[in-house]
Formats: sequence, C-alpha cells, structure tokens
Amino acid sequence: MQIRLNHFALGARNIYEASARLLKETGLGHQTGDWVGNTACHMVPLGGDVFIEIEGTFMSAHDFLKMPKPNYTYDALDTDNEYNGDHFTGMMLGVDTLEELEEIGKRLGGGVTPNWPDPYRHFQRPDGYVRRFQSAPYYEPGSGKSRPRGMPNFYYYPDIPGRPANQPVWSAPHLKIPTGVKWIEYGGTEEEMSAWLDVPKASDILPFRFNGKALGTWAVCVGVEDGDDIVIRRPPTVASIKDPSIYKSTQ
Amino acid sequence: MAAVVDHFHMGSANIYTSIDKLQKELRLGHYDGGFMSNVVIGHKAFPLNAGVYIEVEAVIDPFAVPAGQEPAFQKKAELFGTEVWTGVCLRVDTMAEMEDIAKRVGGKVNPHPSMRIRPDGPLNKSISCPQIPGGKPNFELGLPQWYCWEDRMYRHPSGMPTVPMQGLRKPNGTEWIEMGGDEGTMGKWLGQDPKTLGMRFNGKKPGLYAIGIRTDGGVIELRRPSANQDTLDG
Amino acid sequence: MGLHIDHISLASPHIFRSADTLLKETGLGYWTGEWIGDTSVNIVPLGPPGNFIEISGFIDIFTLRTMNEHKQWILDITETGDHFNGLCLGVDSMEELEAFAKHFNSTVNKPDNPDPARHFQRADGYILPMASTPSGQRSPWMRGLPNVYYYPDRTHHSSGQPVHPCLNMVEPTGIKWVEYGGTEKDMDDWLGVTGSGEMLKLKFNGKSMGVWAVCVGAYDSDDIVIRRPACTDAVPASKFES
Repeated sequence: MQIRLNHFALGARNIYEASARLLKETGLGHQTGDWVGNTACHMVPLGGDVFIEIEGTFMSAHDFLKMPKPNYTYDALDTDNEYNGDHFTGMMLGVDTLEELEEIGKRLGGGVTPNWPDPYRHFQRPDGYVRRFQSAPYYEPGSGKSRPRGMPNFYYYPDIPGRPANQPVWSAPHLKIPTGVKWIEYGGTEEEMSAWLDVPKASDILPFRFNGKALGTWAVCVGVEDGDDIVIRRPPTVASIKDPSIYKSTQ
Repeated sequence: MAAVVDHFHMGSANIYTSIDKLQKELRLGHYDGGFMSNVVIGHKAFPLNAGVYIEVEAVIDPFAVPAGQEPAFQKKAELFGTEVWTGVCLRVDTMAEMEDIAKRVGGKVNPHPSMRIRPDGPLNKSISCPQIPGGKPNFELGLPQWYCWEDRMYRHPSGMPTVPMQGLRKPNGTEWIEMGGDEGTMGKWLGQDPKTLGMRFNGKKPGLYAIGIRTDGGVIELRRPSANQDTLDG
Repeated sequence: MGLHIDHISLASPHIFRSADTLLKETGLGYWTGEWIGDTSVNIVPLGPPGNFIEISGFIDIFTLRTMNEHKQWILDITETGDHFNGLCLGVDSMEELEAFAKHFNSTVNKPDNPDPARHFQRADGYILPMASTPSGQRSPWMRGLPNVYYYPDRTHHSSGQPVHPCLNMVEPTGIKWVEYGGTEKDMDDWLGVTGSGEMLKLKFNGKSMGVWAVCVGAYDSDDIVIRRPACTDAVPASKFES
C-alpha cells in the first residue's frame, strides 16, 4: 500500500481574507466555489497532486448559533495569532483503492465513511461536479471512539483528475507555480506517527520533520518554479485549545 | 467629451505563437476572445485595465479567404516575421458623439457593427466610425478610428479575466503611444490635442509603432513594426 | 437622466446552497469569490445592459462576536431563508449621484477610499470602486427602499464577468420587469421622480416595500421569474422608521 499526501485543511475565520492574504504572502493562487454541508473552501494547489483547502465552517450563521457549544474548531480559530486566527485543522493522507482504505479503517478500530448517496454530503463545485470521497477511520456515532486529535486521516477519491490540485486557479498578478510539498513540520514524534501509519519510519514515506509540539501540522514547505521555496506556517488547532476535555468529539 | 484610448490592434500570422511570445515578453495576462463574425479572424486580448486593452488578431481559416485578399496585416506579419501594429482605436460614450465625429471628418458611422463571438457564446458588439466613401481604410493612413460600446460597456474587453500564469504584472493603462506622422495632422483628425491620449510622434510613416504600458513594475515598452511600413527599416 | 436598475441583492443564510438552488431552478449560472468584510456575494449575471443578482451572506461567523443593528437585521431576514433585501439603482455620472445625495439629504459614499477592505474585492485581486448614496449606518434597504450607485469604471462590472461552467445553464438576456412592494407613488416620492414604474420596469403589488420577484429573459428559452419574499416581509420596515 502506498500512502500519499492528499491535502491539508487550513481553518480560517474568513476564507476570502485568508486566501487573499496567502496569495500576497506566497504567490499561491486559489479556486473558489467548492462547498460541502456547512463548509465552504478555497482550494490552493501545491503541485504534485496535493492542495490546501482553506475552509470556512459554520454556514449558516443560524445553524452555528444553535450548535452545541463549546465548539472545538470555533474556539481554536477564535484564538488570535499573527495569521488572523488561521490554524491548520487537518492533514489528510491518501490511498489508491477503497480496499486499502477499509484496511486502514479496520486497523484503527473503525471503518470507512459510507459512500453517501446524497450529493450534498460531498464536495460540490458550481459546475455541477460532485467530488465523491470516502475517508477513514470512521467511527459510528455513539460508539465512544474517535480519532486522536491532531492525527491525520485517510482519503480515497475515485476520480483523481477531478481533484482540486488539478484544477486552474483564479488569475492574479505575481502568481507562483507550485511544484510540490518538500517537507512538513508536524507535532509529536516520529514514533507516534509511525505507529499511526503502521510503518517502520514515517519520515521514510512522507517528508515529515517532527517538532515534539502539539499534534498537527505546523508548517508546509512548497517548492515553486523560478523562485525560493515557500514555507506556510500556521499553528494546528490543538495548540490553541486550552482544555481539550471539555469537547465531546473529533472535529 | 474628449475621446479616450480604447484598444490597440495587432495583426499576426499565427495567433498562438504571437500570444506565447507576447505573454513571455510582457508578463501580462491574456484571454481567448473567440472569433470575428466573418469566421475568418481569431481574437485574443491582453486587458490593460483603465478601460484599455490590446487585441491580437490573425486569420484562423485561410481556406475562407479568397487568394490575394488576405488582410494587409497578415502579409506584413509574414514579411517581417513578427506581429505588426495595425493601429489605435479610441472610445466615446454615446452614439451622438460618434455621429458628430463621423460628420466632422466627412464620413459616417459604420452601419455594420463589429461582432465577435466569444468562446462562452455571447456576442461582443461594438460600433465604429468613420467610414469615408472612396477613402482608404483609416488604419492604412495611420489614423485612429473611434468606437462606441453598447450597454454601458457591458463585458468590455479590458475587464475580462485572464488565463492564470506565473509572475504576471498588474497593468494600469498606457503612459504613452508612439505614432508615425506628425502632431498637427493627427490633432486635426482627432479634433482634440493628441497629448490628451499620450501620443508622441516619431516622424516615420503614419501608423502605430510602440506603446508604454503602466504596470506595478514600472512602464514597459511594447514595440513592433507598423503594418504600414514597407520594409522593416521603415 | 440615466437612472436604471444596476443590481438586486438577495440575502441568503447559505450563499452556496442558495446559488445552487437558483441554478437548478432557473438555469442561471453564477460566479464566486467576491467579498467585502464579513460578507461574500455569489453573482448571478442577468444579461445586458449589465444587471445581476448578488446572493449575499455572512462568510465569517466570527463577525457575530460584535453585533450591531445591521448584522442582526441580516440574521433576522435570513432566518427563514432567502429574502430580496436590496434594489440597487445606478446613474451614469458622479453629478447625477450627487443630485440624488442632495435629494436624500445625505452624502455620497466615495469610491476612492484607499483602504481595500472598504471595497468589494475579488479572487483575482481586483478591487471594485463604487460610489453610492445615501450614506449612513442605517441603510434604506431596511425600509425596503433602493439606494443609488455610480461606477467610475464599468469595465469590470460584476454583470459582465464569466460564470462557472454550470450544468444546464441558460444565457440571460436582461431584466424584463421587477415586482416591487408599495405603489408607484411610494417609489416616486422616495426617488423624487415621476413614473418610476416605466422608468425602472417596476410593477407594484401593494405589499410591503422591497423586491418580490425579478423576471429575466433567456436566450432560446422561456422567461424566468425568480420569486422570493421581500426582506420587509420578515422584518417590518416600521422597525427602522424612527
């Protein structure tokens, strides 16, 4: 089984402001229009089939106001930092077949997400394209099990060409062409990640550098054509949560 | 009201290689404008913001062009081995102004609007003047023509989005325009001071020779032969 | 005088779901990425001479950390779904806009504020210069009344930008009529004109003020009527008439 980088989720208070700021900071362009359920995303291709989804959860505002509190992701993004509250909310790895995904789900004590027939359970684009995916580990609601916060989950996409990494961005001045992820600064240790991935050494299969801090993505280094490498640095959500015990489930 | 610059016209023998060359030289964004309703001419554009753009045209169906009737710009582009400037086009806001201009120079408003079919379907329509009976085409005389866009500049070519590309500059109109001929003749034709359009004159054969494009990286010069030149030397 | 309809605002609790619903209902495509502050607008071009619907809503719920009357109004009018909340008229010169400002006993919101955060911005970096009147904290939209705009540069007008390649799209050919609340006299009095109905293609239904429906022509297809309640149906105009 080959485990690949799939994407990073970057939570933002305002995905429009965050995308504009990232463009100014790095020259990396983005796509607009993707959404699923209560989340809208701006997609930032990083080259080599990997992307960042800058995600804004909590649509509608009415649904958010009625949502049970405290809310893990909201509280993390509510924590001020030098990036207007941006936090890496997830790292998602990819496998090439549903069978491999099921194997991972089983190994981690759960399963895979159902292939929801309702298209609104999957990412939609304005052009009508529905980007179906399934992920693992999935734990049935009420099972009492959840993924350890800050550990990556795994995705399977039946349609590779439809992925955001392969779609064009908005044209803007001073864009840079990304050529792929060079390294990832991750919290925790090599041993923790290797155990999660069930491999002898995690940094042999993915370009991890472990900083021993709170679990989650701390920085992503992206190569570009005709320019210096870009380092996108944001704290993971875990780093900004004061008391994890007050939150009920993984978000 | 004084006219303003609307667009610059460039003729090419191969629209794809021309655009490739121009975008690398200018580092400005472009888009596919579709084709003209005569089905012969293909169109791509470089929006320069500030209501101004460059359009590059080339024959895209040579079989539809009777032998010997290729556009003059194509013959010159083939002869010189490069794109050629055909001319400058100005803009006024109302058809009443167009009528006044056409009358002043002894012609009329072109009864046939210029129609371009965009890749996404809608027609892009503009009206030009003057059409002077028995006269040479204005471009061949090195003289600008005027355009009026319908519907409050709906979908004006200068405001359309471009293909995403690495390292594009942000343009903001033109700083200067280098014309052949002389200021006096041009001023008489325009009915306004050529300096109001940023024109300066090189004394060569009448025509367009170069433009200075304002960008966030300074003014960049785009120089090509005029389609009115007989040889590359003038 | 060049007074005309420029655009119509449709307040939405979830701008993506609303745009998708409208697309499936009418075939009208939309483009995304334009925003100002805590609000984004998904734009539905309606065709020449350059009109659009902006499906607008909060995209930053952190803005609710500090509430004000306007934010509460947006929450209240979208609690039960989409509501038309703004008829935006246009003029062709700053002089005409200033004349309206004088008529409204107000001032012009100028287009040249150097802070980009005070303007609509797009994903391609474009910052949209727009002047409007009346100015002030309490928008006339809250009473179901239109305001007036002037664009110094119309070449990037939202109505002319290309939409996403949506499935089963129709090509809109322009607004045919707008159904409005109140009477022609109400509108004439507000604008200080005579004959606003014919001038602006408005049909008045005597209900609470605001847009109730928009009819749009479509190429090779039947006319489209987009019907949503006016915002004053959700929150009465009387609440803002002090």
